[in-house]
Amino acid sequence: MLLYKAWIESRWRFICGAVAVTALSILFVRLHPILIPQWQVALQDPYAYKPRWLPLGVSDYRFYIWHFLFDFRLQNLWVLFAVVLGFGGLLREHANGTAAFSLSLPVTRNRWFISRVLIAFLETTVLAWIPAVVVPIASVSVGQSYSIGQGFAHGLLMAGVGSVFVGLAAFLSLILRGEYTPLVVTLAMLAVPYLVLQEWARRVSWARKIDIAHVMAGAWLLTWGDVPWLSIAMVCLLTVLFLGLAARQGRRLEF
Amino acid sequence: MDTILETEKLSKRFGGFEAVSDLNLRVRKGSICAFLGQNGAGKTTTLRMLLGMMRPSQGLGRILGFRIDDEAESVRIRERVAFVAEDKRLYDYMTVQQILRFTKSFFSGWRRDRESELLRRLDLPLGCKIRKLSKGMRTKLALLLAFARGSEFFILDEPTEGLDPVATEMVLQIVVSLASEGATVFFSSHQIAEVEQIADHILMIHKGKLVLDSPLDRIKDEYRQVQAVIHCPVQNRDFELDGVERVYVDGPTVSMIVSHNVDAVMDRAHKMNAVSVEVAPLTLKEIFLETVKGRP
Repeated sequence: MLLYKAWIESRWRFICGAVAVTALSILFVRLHPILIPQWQVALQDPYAYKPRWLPLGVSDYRFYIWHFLFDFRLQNLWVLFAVVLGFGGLLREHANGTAAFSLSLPVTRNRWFISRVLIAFLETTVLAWIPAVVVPIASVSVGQSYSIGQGFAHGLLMAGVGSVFVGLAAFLSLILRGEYTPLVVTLAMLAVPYLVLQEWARRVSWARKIDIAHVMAGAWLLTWGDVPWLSIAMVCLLTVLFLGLAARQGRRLEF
Repeated sequence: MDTILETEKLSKRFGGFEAVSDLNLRVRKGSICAFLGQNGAGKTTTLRMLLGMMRPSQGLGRILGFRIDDEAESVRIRERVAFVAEDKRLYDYMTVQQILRFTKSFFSGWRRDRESELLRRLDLPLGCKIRKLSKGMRTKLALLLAFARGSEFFILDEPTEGLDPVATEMVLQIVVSLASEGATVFFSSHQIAEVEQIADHILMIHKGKLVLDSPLDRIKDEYRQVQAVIHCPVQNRDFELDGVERVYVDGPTVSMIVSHNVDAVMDRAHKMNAVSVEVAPLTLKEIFLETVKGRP
């Protein structure tokens, strides 16, 4: 029943995320036949700006999907919803007045925390897998094809590595008081690496290893040999650390 | 076991502020015990410590023999104790039916008969979202969720706050019926008339300290206002006797609030050549006001 409560509590956030992810996936599939002719013209123009990925983007539809979705827009949107779905918990309940009811039930604080985080992980995983279904279907409408297996693999990598954002949001939700303060602070914290540091990290090879966004995206054609196991292990450790600190903080809180 | 709740020197400090200080409470099984005090006296802090929401800074507390400061034992307490918080806020994203289904899943002794009866009597719409309920309806729902748990001990923080007189009367009747079935009720209230109507024991707290702990009948039997007219000069210390709680001297008139030992007080007045000595009973409201008024 705790999972049921966590689901009822977050389902509208999840549904908004699902709609946004679906819409974004369809948008970039539908943009493909519009963008490709423009890029082909640009490739033949010696004076036009041509990013390094452009030739591959024009020639390979799978790269195009990876570049715009799993490595860029979809990932940004997914992280936003990972934070939105990860935030909440007893401190937020305290801010809106329901903590006393929750804490009057015969449930340990750890169980409250675990059930909420578990639902957040499940919801974010489903969000990450929606493009795996939507993109192959939508691709048919533009005369292209995309592997469901690649979509699921990228989705799993994104959700697995990105679980650190759920952990961070859950941790800050038990540190910062106020109904929306943890959400705002988490988003502000993530805006710095995403908007400022990410571009720098992509130009510096060693920094890529600590660039979570880069690890979440993986290689554009994902194979077992390309999975960044070490980086995943480090990010998972960080997630466990956040969750451990959050659970500890949850037990110490007074209401 | 005769005592269902007991605390020993229970204290809670917030920085330099002592919200609850050396509180020794004892609630007998099967009683309806009222917990009285002004706003900020420490009632809610005490109740929250009892339910494991706050940790005591010092002291011990046990409910049904389980320690309140141990998380595992606190869960055992909450399996057998129903609590209604002061603000009675519930999950506003759930419907009445959803929160009923959710809450009953935690209590093996859930009383379906009482749930149906209260749903009917309190006129709660099952399909309605909690956010659309009025404050009074939310209070009724919070009480239903507590009363149907099948608990043996009910801790209610201002249970009738926000209810109309009809609903208030209904809730008071339910509380009495719970006690008649063997349950124990410990409730805080500012409605002295309600306390007089249903309570059989009074615990009064002031600035975090217990200032009164007595059966209601004894309070009503023994608390008296003694008024004497004495023409010779009188000072407060002339009536510093066992049982004298307050002395007011206004010219020749001496008024006293006496908690017991009225005969000795009257004797003292007569020995001081009082021309008249009158003894009058006090209401619980007067006793409450006199007990907390002017205390440090």
